[in-house]
This record gives sequence, C-alpha cells and structure tokens, in this order.
Amino acid sequence: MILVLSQNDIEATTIEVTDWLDFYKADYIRMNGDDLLGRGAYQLGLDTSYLNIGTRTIALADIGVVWFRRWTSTDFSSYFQSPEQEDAQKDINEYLKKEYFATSKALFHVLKDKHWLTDVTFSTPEKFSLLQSARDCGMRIPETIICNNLSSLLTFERDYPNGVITKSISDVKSIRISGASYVPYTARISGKMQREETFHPILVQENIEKQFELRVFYLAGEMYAMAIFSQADSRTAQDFRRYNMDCPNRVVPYLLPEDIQNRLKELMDRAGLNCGSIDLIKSKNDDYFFLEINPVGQFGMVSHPCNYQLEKKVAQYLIEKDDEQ
Amino acid sequence: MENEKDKFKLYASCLLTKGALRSTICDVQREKFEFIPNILYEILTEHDGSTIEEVVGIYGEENKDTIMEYFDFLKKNDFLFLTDEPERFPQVSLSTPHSAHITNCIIDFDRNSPHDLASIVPQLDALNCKSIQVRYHYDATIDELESQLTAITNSKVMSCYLLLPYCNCYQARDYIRLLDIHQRIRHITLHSCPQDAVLKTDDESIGLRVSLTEKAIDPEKHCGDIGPEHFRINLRLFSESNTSNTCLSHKLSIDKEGYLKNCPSMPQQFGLFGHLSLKEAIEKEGFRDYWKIKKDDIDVCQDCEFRHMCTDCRAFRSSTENRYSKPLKCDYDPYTAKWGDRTKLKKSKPEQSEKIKTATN
Ligand code: SF4
Repeated sequence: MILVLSQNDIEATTIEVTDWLDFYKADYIRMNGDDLLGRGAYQLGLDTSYLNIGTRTIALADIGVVWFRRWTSTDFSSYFQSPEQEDAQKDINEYLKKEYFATSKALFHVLKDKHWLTDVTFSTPEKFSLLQSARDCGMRIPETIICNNLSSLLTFERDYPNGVITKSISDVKSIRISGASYVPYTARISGKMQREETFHPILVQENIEKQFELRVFYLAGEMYAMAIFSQADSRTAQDFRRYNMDCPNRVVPYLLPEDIQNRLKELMDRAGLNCGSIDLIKSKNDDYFFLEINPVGQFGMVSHPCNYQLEKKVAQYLIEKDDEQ
Repeated sequence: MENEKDKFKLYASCLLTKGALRSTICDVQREKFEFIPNILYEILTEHDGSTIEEVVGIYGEENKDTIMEYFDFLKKNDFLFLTDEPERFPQVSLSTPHSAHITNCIIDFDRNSPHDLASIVPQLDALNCKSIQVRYHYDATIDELESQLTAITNSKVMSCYLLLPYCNCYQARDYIRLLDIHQRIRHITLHSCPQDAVLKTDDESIGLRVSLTEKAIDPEKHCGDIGPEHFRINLRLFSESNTSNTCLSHKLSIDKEGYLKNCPSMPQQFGLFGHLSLKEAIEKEGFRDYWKIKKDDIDVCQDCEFRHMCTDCRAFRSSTENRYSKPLKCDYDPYTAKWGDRTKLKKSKPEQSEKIKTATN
C-alpha cells in the first residue's frame, strides 16, 4: 500500500498524483499532518504494528512506500486561545507546536524502514553543506559568505564586478504584515545601503550574470529541466518568484548536458535525496551554477508548462516501488 | 552573447499552426495569438535553429528587409530568442494523457427527468470525473439546487457549472448563499432575464461567478457556436486538438430524459441512466468514435489557422451524413481568410458585467 502524506487543504499536486493512483487502481491511503491533531484516536510506540488514519486502521506491514508531499497547515499561533494572557498564549502555542512536530517525528520514525519518496526521517542538509557537496561533485557554485558586518560585506563586494546578492540562509518564511503575507526574496545588495557597522547575519553571494535560470525536478535519477528566462524582466531578474502576472517569464523545457546530469545525480545521492527541485543558473559565460535544492519542491510549476506529466510519473514510481516491497 | 552568429529559436510555448492562406503563432503562456504569413511559418519550421544570416542567404539578399522585419516582429512579441545551443531546447510534448476515464459531464434536467445527481455523482467518481455542467430546462429553485448539489460535496467533482433560466424571485444574496454553501460551483449562468434585471450586491466577486444574459437559451440548441470570442489559447487545448476531439473527447452526457450520450444535442444514445452503469455505457461500441476525430481530420478545419484554439462541434455540422464535415455554426473560410456576415454582425456585448451592480456604485 502507498501512504500519501499531505496537508488538509485542497492541495493541487496531491490531488493530481492521487488521481493517477486512482486511475491505475493503486492501493493507497492519504494521511494529512493535521490528522494527528484530529479526533481520530491513535497511539504510537516502538513496536506499533497498526496505524489509525481517520476511520481506517492500517497494518504497518502493508505499507510499501511513503510519499511525503506536505504536512500541516495548522496555524499554531492561535491554536490555543487565551485572549487575557497573550504571553501565555504565545508560549503555550510554541510549546504545543514543538510537541506536535515531535509527535510527527515519532510517526516518521515508526515508518523509517519503508521506502520513502523524499525521506523526512533523514534531515535535509543545510545550505553550506549542500554548497560544499555540490562543489565536491564538480558543480560550480557562486562564492558565498555569511557575515554580520559592513567591512566584510564591502571587502567581499569589491571582488565581484557584477555585484552581490543576498538571500535567506534558512528556508524562507512568509511574514504577515497587517493581514497580508510577504515572502523574503533574493535581492541585489550593496554595502552602501547599510548604515550599521554590524547587523543580523546575512548570506551574501556573488551575483552571477544569467542567460536564464533552470529549475530541475529530480525523480529517482531522472531529471526534468525547465529554463526560466527571468533576465528580460527587471522584477524577476534576481528572483523569478517575484512573478509578473501580466507578462510571465518565458518558461520552456530544457535538456541538461549529460555531465551536468551526472554531477547532479551524485550530489543528490550524497545528500540522501531521491526527489527534489534543484535550482541552477546558466551564466552568460555558459557555466552551470548550482544554487540550491528544495527537497519537497513544487513540481506543478515545471510539469505543466513543459507538459512533463510529472504527476503521472510520480504515481508510476510509487506504484512500482510499492510492488517491489 | 547576442550577435549575428546566434541561432534563433521560438520559445516552446509559442506554437505554430499553418492555414491555407496564413498561419498563427499561439502564445500559450501569455494566452494570445498573432497572425504570420505562411512564408514565415516555413522559415520558423524548416530553418528553426539557424542564424538569421543563414535565412537571408537562403531567401536571397533581395528579401533581406522583409526577413529582418519578420524577426523584429518576433522579437518585439517576445516569441523568439537567440542561442548557441538550440538543440538543448526541445519542443513541448503534445501528448495529453488523462487520469480520468471521463473528464467532464453534462447533465440536463427538466421537471420530469428520471435521474438525479445523488445517483449519478458516485458513478462519475468511479470514472474520476472532475468537472460537471448541470443545465436546468426549467426554473429550478435555489432550495432545489442547494439540496441536489450536496451530491458533489465530498465527491471528486471539483468544479460545477450551472445553466438555468433567470427567476425574479431571487436576489444577489440568494446566489451568494448558494455559492457559499457549494464552493465547488464555479459559475452560474442565468438566461432569459428581463432587460431591466440586475443583481445588486456589495460583493464584487459575484460578478465573476454569476452572469446574466437576456438571451433565451435552449441548452440543447444553443451549443456549438464558433467564433473568435470562443477561441481559447492554452497548451491543453492546443495539444488536445492535435490528438483528439476538443469537444467530445472524454465527455459523457445525460440528456433531460436520462439517455446517455456523447452530447445531449446528438441523436445517438447508449442506453438509459439506471439501466446500465456509466462505465458500461462508455465502454459500449461506438461511444468513443467521435473522441478521435481531431481538427486535422475535419473538412475545412484541417486548413484553418485557428484549428488549435477553436473548440469543435460534432452535433451541429454542415452535413449530417458526413461525420468529418465542418461545424455548422462556423462561418469562417480559411481559403479566403474571411468571416461570414453572421460573425461580422455579432456585437460583442459585455452583458453580464453590466447586469451585476455593486451597491456601492
Ligand atoms: S474553420 Fe474549423 S477550425 Fe477554423 S474557425 Fe471554423 S470551426 Fe474553427
């Protein structure tokens, strides 16, 4: 049986993949992260052999493969409400959130011997270690530092005539400001913008002059690449996520050279990932620069414009792995 | 990097269609199209990946100005880019596999219809059907709609489109309430409304989900219109039209009497709902015959530059005997590149937006 881990809301990719699972009459069950917060009774232990998911009870031994797509959509900041005691509400909710994630980890642990598509029992390497591995695998990477002071920033900047950029060191987090959500994006910076001698640590990277960006969906050794012509538009020149609705960037299928594919495969193997979205830049000098990997990346945005049918391929992969078990 | 040595390449999202007199470029990403001369179609298909200089070499210096003009036009519209590695930019695949046996279903009701949504929807679920259009041939009440549509609440049907006659007994708030209860209703069209009918509301979004038209629509006859206002430019339709029928493929219909058909307006029926399952009906001999008739197989359409943005119609065709004849309600002639009088006279009137009035106005 295939266990699909996703989130409560209508999640387009989960639905598209499970439609294919239905089409192939595959045996699967979907569990959402918030099921652990729901009313359905469950119990986890080191010797657990049955899982309660909603109204169903599944023998652990029947699960052949686990697909991790998404997890929770619960907003823990208002999970427990105590309007009179705001500080208590905040602390309690932070604690409940931690407890919830630890419970989730316990569940993943119980499933750790299963075949996973995006194994979350295995922690994702952080930025520096990925950049290091990428370089060790023969990929070019933009020169990168993390610093907290103006003089380092200015010295670093001096070496790069094309300027430098800054982006998130960890995963991007959306920030709510009076009801609207904002997501940090990659931006050009200059030491001149900085007034303080020291500041909160930031990641600074040499700016690579792009021909185009590449987003590569990686699935068990296969690579599906899409070129994003973000250069033409000043809004998206640094970060194509700053989407221009009226005139979207050109996105087209792209074939990666074999040697780049081999290097990326080695990198994914080293990082212990069998699935993910890899971001690259094809520079004006014709080099391929590695930027980052998002292990649970959106693949609909690559699949649909390039008509790669990735949802179908993921479903087929899950069925194949489940049959092998 | 852009110099004379660079090779040109159309972006894979800009797709060409050759017609008898002229061709089109469908920009499926930005959902628009432009006409191009057939000679440019030839340049872009036969010499894709060459340099502009090479093209000038082939067509002769005397045509250089025209060729340069063509390329300026293509660059201005951002249809084309220059690269020294054209072989790394493959075409988008035009295959359209479906994860559903039926992707869309039309269900008609009149007062005496023997079928009901509660028994149809579970069967549609088994076919993975995601979209339905429900057409009422009578003035169904909102209470009726509300209770019938509970059938889709926990089903696989993610979008539902309704067509019914206007009734002056309802206000905007009644429709808002219905849309609120049944979020999966994407759109409601109310036809035969009096000239002065308006829906007053302060909810601006309702205009997107409800439209009013004065036209009296007989669902079985009104369908099949073809004209520029019906063209859609997207990769799904473009690729689907290359391989299958853009109206009937993966469609199932239940007419007001309960007969299972490809389309309610077609005479052929494959049994009565309730006497056989939907699955049995679509597996019957002949049910899928029309699915495979693509634009390239249809008389006249096969020479039309609009054929991959135009939806087909097999119910109303210029010859009842010939399955491959052109849709009856199209008066375009690709051999002269002219529309007939019917299309020319049609005024595009934005009825619906005017008929939904926000109270704040
Ligand atoms: S001739 Fe055919 S393809 Fe062209 S507009 Fe008419 S119906 Fe559509």
